Amino acid sequence: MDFIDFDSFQDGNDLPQPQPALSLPLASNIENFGKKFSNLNSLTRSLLRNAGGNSKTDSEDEENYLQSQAFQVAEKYASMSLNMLKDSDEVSSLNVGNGTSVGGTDGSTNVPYTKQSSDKNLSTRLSRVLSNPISDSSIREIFLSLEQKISDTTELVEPGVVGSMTRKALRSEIENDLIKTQSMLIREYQPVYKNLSQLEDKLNKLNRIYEDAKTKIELDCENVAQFNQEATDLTSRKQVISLKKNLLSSFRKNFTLSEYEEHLLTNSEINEDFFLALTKAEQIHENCSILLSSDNPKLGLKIMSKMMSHISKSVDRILLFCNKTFGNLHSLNTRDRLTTLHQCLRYLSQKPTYLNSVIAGFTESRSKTLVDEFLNQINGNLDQRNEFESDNSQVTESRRNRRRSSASRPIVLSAHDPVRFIGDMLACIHSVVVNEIETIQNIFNENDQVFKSMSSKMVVVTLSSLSKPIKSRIEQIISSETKIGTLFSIYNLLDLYTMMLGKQLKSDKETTEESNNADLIATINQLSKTSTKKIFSIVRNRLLTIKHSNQAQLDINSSLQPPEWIIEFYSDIIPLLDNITTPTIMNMEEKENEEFMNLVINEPVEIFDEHLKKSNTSNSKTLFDKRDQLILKANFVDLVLSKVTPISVLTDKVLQLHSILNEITIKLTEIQSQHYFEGCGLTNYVNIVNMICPFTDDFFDSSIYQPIVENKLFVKDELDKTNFEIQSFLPTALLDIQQSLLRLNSPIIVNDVVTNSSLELVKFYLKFGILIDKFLKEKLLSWSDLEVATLLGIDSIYNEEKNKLQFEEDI
Amino acid sequence: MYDTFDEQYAATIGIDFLSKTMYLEDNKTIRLQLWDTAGQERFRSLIPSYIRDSHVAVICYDITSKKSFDNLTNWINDVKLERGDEVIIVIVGNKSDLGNKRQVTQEECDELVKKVGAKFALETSTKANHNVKLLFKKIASCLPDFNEVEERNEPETIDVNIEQSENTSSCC
Ligand SMILES: Nc1nc2c(ncn2[C@@H]2O[C@H](COP(=O)(O)OP(=O)(O)OP(=O)(O)O)[C@@H](O)[C@H]2O)c(=O)[nH]1
Ligand SMILES: [Mg+2]
Repeated sequence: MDFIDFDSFQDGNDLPQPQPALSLPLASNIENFGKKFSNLNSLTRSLLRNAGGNSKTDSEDEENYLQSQAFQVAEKYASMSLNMLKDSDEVSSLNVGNGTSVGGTDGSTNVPYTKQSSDKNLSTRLSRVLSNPISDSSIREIFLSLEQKISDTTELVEPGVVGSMTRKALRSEIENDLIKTQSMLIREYQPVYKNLSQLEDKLNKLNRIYEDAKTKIELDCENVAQFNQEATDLTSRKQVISLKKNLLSSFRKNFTLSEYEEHLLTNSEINEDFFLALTKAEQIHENCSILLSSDNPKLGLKIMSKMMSHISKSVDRILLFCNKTFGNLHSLNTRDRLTTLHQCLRYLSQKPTYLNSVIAGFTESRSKTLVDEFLNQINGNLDQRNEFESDNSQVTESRRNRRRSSASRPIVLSAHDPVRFIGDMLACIHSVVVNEIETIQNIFNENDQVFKSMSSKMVVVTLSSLSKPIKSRIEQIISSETKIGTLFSIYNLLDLYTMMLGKQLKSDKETTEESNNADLIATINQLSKTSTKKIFSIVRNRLLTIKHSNQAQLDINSSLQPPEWIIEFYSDIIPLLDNITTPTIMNMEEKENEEFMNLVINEPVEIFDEHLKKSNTSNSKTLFDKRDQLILKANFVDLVLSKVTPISVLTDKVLQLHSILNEITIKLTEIQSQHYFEGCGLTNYVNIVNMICPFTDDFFDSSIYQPIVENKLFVKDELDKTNFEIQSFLPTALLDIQQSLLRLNSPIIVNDVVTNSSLELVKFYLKFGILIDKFLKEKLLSWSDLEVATLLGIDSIYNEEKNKLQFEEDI
Repeated sequence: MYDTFDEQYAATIGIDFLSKTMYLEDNKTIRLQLWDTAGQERFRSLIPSYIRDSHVAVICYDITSKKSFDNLTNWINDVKLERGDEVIIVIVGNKSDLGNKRQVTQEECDELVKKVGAKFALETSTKANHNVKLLFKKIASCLPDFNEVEERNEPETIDVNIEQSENTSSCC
């Protein structure tokens, strides 16, 4: 450290020229001071380092250390001062004992003091001080603080030892101050420093950590990137694979059968699972169409054929099962088997051909059983029965047969009673029908619509198999039967059974209608028609034989009674007609009915007419006069009428017959009146009157008969003759006429004829008498009209009639 | 027979059929086939054909009609003529609800049962649904041969309702 040396300072020196600026080494002092600090710094640092972990005592240590430091410095300066004092003792001159001075860095020692050099030194120092870019105020402050230190300026400026001593003391004092303040300043920074250094540590640590972390992170990043890459690779691969897997599994699901399923289809028994597997196989088969549309249809074809074989095998098994089950109905007593059968049938219902074949097989076997059973019943064949019993698959059938055969006589035409035979046969059919319906309903007791129609169809088809044998048997009987009564009973039976079977099978109405003519009911109905036809033809044939029979012809004889054949004919036919409760005979069609009625009624009448005609022409032996002919006819028709009247279906015919009878009556009356007129000799007069104008009941005017006077017969003589004739004829006339009508069977007709003819006569007699009175003015007829009427036994009737007659004037 | 009663009289025409499954006490089932024959004269000729195959003949009379009871012998003879003694005969006196108009006593009926060798007799009322179930139960249990085999058996029964048509007016 340099020191301002005041040796060269002289008061008396002329100072015309400003001294060159003194360079004061203040700054360098401070620098040195700083250098010392840096030493200190390193010291403290080492100390701190030594302190290591026990930072607790740091501040304490530091304080101690600083104290000791201060002492050391003080000591140093003290020793330096002492040395300097020694030096000054030895050397009287003003120099600075600088040799072992502070820091040891200053190499300059014992600079020889010369005036020149001291000036120079001073000036440089001063200049240094003054040129220091310290502001004036700072300088002032510096000086002010210096002033305080300087208590005795004189001593200070005194050259010599005391002076330098003082100066030195001042100097050290100032230095001490400086050091103190500096250290104080520095001490203020100490905690900051400490904090900072701590912070530094931490920061360093943080940095290190950061670096570490950074490197790690970078590393990790790299790894992650790599890993990501791998992961994405893997996921995409996984996706592809899972896609493939899905594809494959769905392929498997859609296009392959599991081994178990295959086993189900081929070997295991038919059950729920079997059908599931089968449906799957079919589904696969269907799905194959997708495969076929792909580029390579080979796979599709292969799978398809495989599935097809599975399906067909399964279907075969189903068919086998169905057929087997149907073959042995006894097995259906177990519930499982029945449900399985239903499943089978339900499945087969999607494949109508198979279903139909199964059903056809079943119905065929049932039909065969039924027919066998039926024939067995009819023939009562013992051998056949044994055969049945030995057949195991038909346990039930055989049992039923055995029961039947043992419990009842076989139906035989034993009593030669065809009606009973047919009745037995139909009763047997009836029970077969109900049994069959029950059997089939037992199998198809589901409420399934498919099964319902199926079962009813099966019943119809199965039962229709009986049509043929029944038809042949009954037709045979009908054709060989000749009795109308028997045939009618057969007809009734057949008709009744048509109704009764219809009642049993009525649930199948819809199917029955569409089914073929082989249907059982239709057959029986047809048979009843056949019996009707047979009756028809028998009747017709019978009438035909009668028509050409000579015997019948000969039946017409003078007794004038109806022939024997008509009585016989009606004795057969009337019970038939009497038992008819339906609106037409035997339910025939309107036209047929008409025909039959004509055949039964009109035809015999016609035949009789023909016979009558023939007998009159060919046979000379018995010639009938007109009256007799009419009586014959009347008797015949009357007989027919008497037979037919009570029968309700024939009311139309009765009316017809009545009109025929009326005609005959009228004809007979005519004949009878003619007979009267002839007997009375009035015929000519009747003719004359009729030529002018015939008498009628509702009009009579005598004046229009004026021309009668011109007739030559209308004279007294002739009229007298006539009057006489009348008087001789009339008293016996009634007896005569009654005699002649004796053979007329119907008293009503007889009465009608007599009364009407008599009335005719009396009425003429009356009006003729009036004419005679009017034109001849004479009463030539001796009897009054009333007397004539009394003679003819119609007086009361005539009185009634007379009142109704119209006259131009009252008589 | 149909488990229903109808006041309205509808004469049976021909032969009616009904099957009835009975559940007996010992868990056995038996199916009865019932043939309901018409009582009217004009259907009489049909009946023998059905008796041929039947195991039981149920012959009914009307307890309010002595005449119907007297007719029983004819019907029983018909049955026997056809089947001899092989058939089980059951006599049923119907309309037991009309007890106040009774013309046939139970004693008379029991006598007849003994005389003709019928299996049993029972008085029923289809109107009051009295004894009808019992009748069929008893019939079912009368068929020992078939009790042994379950189901499949179809013993046939003739249900001969006679002459009740005459008494229609009295009960409607
Ligand atoms: N009060 C009463 N009336 C009955 C009873 N049973 C039947 N009837 C009546 O008797 C009448 C004839 O009964 P049905 O059972 O039809 O007679 P049916 O013997 O079958 O007659 P057919 O079939 O012609 O032989 C009917 O009007 C029934 O209402 C009964 O238990 N009590
Ligand atoms: Mg009835």
